[in-house]
Amino acid sequence: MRIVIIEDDATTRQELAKLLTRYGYDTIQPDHFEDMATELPGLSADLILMDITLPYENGYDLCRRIRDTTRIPVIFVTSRDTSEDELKSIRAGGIDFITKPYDPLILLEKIRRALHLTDPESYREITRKGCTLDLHMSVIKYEGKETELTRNEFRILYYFFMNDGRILSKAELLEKLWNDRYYLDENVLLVNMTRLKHKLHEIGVTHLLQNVRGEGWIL
Amino acid sequence: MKFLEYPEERIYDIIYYILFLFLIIFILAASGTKGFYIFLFSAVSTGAFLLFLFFSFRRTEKESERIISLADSLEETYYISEVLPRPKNLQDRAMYYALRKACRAMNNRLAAQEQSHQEYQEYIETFAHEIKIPISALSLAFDNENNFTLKKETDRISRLVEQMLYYARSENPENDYFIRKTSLDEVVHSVILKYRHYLIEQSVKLNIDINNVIVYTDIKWLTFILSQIVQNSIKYFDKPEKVLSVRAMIRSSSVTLIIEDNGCGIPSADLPRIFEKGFTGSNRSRATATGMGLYLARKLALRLGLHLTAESAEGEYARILVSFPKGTVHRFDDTNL
Repeated sequence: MRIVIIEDDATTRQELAKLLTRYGYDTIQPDHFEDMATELPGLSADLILMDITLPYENGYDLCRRIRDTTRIPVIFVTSRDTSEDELKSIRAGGIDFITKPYDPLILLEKIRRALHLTDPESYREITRKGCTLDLHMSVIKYEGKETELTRNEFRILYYFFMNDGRILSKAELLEKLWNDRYYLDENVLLVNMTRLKHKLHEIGVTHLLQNVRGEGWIL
Repeated sequence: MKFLEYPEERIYDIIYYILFLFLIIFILAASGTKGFYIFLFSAVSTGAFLLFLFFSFRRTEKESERIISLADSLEETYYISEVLPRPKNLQDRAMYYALRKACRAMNNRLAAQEQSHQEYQEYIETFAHEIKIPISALSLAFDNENNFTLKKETDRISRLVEQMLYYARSENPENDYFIRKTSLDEVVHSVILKYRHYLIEQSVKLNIDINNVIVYTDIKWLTFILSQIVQNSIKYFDKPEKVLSVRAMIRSSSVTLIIEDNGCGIPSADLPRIFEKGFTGSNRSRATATGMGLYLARKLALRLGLHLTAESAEGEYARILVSFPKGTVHRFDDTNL
């Protein structure tokens, strides 16, 4: 997924790119803004993060102009937070609006939503490494055996299934849980992890949720 | 004005009349007119004079009552000179002139004051937006470096700027709010996410019980109000087991959002004063309190038509109630019919 960052403050641009790269997105960061409107459609991007105060032409006008040639979704990123600005961004054809200083959690969530990458709730089950997580029944199955999971355990395991191959740290897990309204504290999370591993062991699963020292766990 | 006070005002007319009457009586007496006729003349003449005095009193009284009620009925009294009837007599005209001049000078001054206030306010808005650019760059950089100490300091700058911005806005007679259908649940969730680092760090146990309550209000302002309340809760936790609960209470005529923490509470002597500007508590153990948070929260709440009240038992809990009166409230089960 490729995201264009249109932002005239160089530091913000670089840091934003760093953040997005860390979460697996490709970024393009133009640093001259003269003929943005003609260049943008040719960049074959999936999403544009657009600042509003830009040299030459403001973000609203730019967005309105590229609307004729491309359907790339635009999220406005701005330090102005009045209702008027929000309305303008909708009128200019932006699909979302986020104000600086932004919370990375919320920015990433809005990007996922814009790219339609929101969690695929329509699946019935996900299978990874021989284990099947039943999304409707909150059950984990392995070689004919199965065990039921509590709400919290299910959520935690679900994040690991959705992020196969990545290390999830305690902090990241907590952020994900809180984002989905599971307001657990660290101790409760650790208790749940222990119980989850225990349940998995009971049905013979020993190859999931490896501890990565000092970093977190991996599916 | 009393009728008895009136002759005092007309004392020269009265003296003049009496002298004049004596003069006529003297002339009549000298010319040999009969005592009876002199008496009759004096009686009729004095009667007519008194009648004249009475009616002119009534007229003056009516006129002045009209002016007084005109002044009382005006909302902005300094416009009085524009609506006053133009007086006919000389002295009144001079007064009228003086009044008009004073009002005009005052209006000019007011306009200049408003103008400079507005410019100041615009500057505050611009300043806040400008300063958010470097704050945002710093905040992102510290996020990327996982430098939570500095990230927190940046957050604090950002919150102070926000408070200043809302202070400026709360003074503005033109409201920048935008009333729309708002899910209370969503707003509370976003406020909790905003403070997640602090809540997770302090292992606060959260009890949220809201369930699809819909209100009609401005999301940004409500978020700001709730942020101030939650910020306070976080600041005043003092027990190892920290609990923050947010629940909605639905009544037939209102919805009340109750935010309760089990922190140090508010002494009952301070309770009536916590929404006052600059009030930081009689027990000044927190050097960082600005005394602006709850004051602003209440002020903005009033503008939105919400009521903010506080309850507390010192050492046990503090509870802030935000009530949305009927008209700003809506429930899902009403619309899903």
